[in-house]
Amino acid sequence: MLVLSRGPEQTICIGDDVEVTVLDVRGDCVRIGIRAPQSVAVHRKEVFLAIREENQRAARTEGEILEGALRMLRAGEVKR
Amino acid sequence: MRIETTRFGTIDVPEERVISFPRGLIGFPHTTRYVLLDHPGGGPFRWLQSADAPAVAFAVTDPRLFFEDYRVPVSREDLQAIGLEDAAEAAVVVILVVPKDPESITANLLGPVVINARDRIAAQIVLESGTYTTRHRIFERGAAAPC
Repeated sequence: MLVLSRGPEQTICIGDDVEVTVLDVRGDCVRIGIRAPQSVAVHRKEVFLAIREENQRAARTEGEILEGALRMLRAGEVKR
Repeated sequence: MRIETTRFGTIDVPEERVISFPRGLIGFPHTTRYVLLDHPGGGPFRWLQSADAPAVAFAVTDPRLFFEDYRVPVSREDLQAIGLEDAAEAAVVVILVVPKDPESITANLLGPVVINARDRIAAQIVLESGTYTTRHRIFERGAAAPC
């Protein structure tokens, strides 16, 4: 991992079109500003990982099980 | 357009129903074209089927059917990414995880899919509010009027 020291209001450029700026340092929290093209998604890593995991689970959904849920809903065995 | 799917066989969908996800879904960055299909058995469920990867399909639903108070505050950047100016114009669906026990179906309210239905551009966004998680159960156990 490349490690660079930067202070408040100092910026790192990544490639031609991504900029990461340290805005503020307070205690153990750093506020960071990111300028990136719309094609680049920027997420907090733990949130990104949680949603990626959930999408991967969701992509395995089988039609028959959804059909089972629909039957239960129609039979009133579950409610919204 | 002819689309091969694992779950529904080969289907024919008009070109203008293809929805473009320029960034893909989170964890699926290279799958960028989807179609929204009604669930063959009807009901509140639909499928977001990839037009590129036959096996990739997500069961989705309109969150307002299950979570009355659910709000999706779409940021200006996220709106711009799908070519909209007004959040009220965005259609929203949420992705479901459907385990073996259908009663335990959960909806991902933290990462909803917002759709510009006019231009057929969509994105999965991440809500900043601390209110929602990736797993909200959609059903309560118990008798209710059949729908």
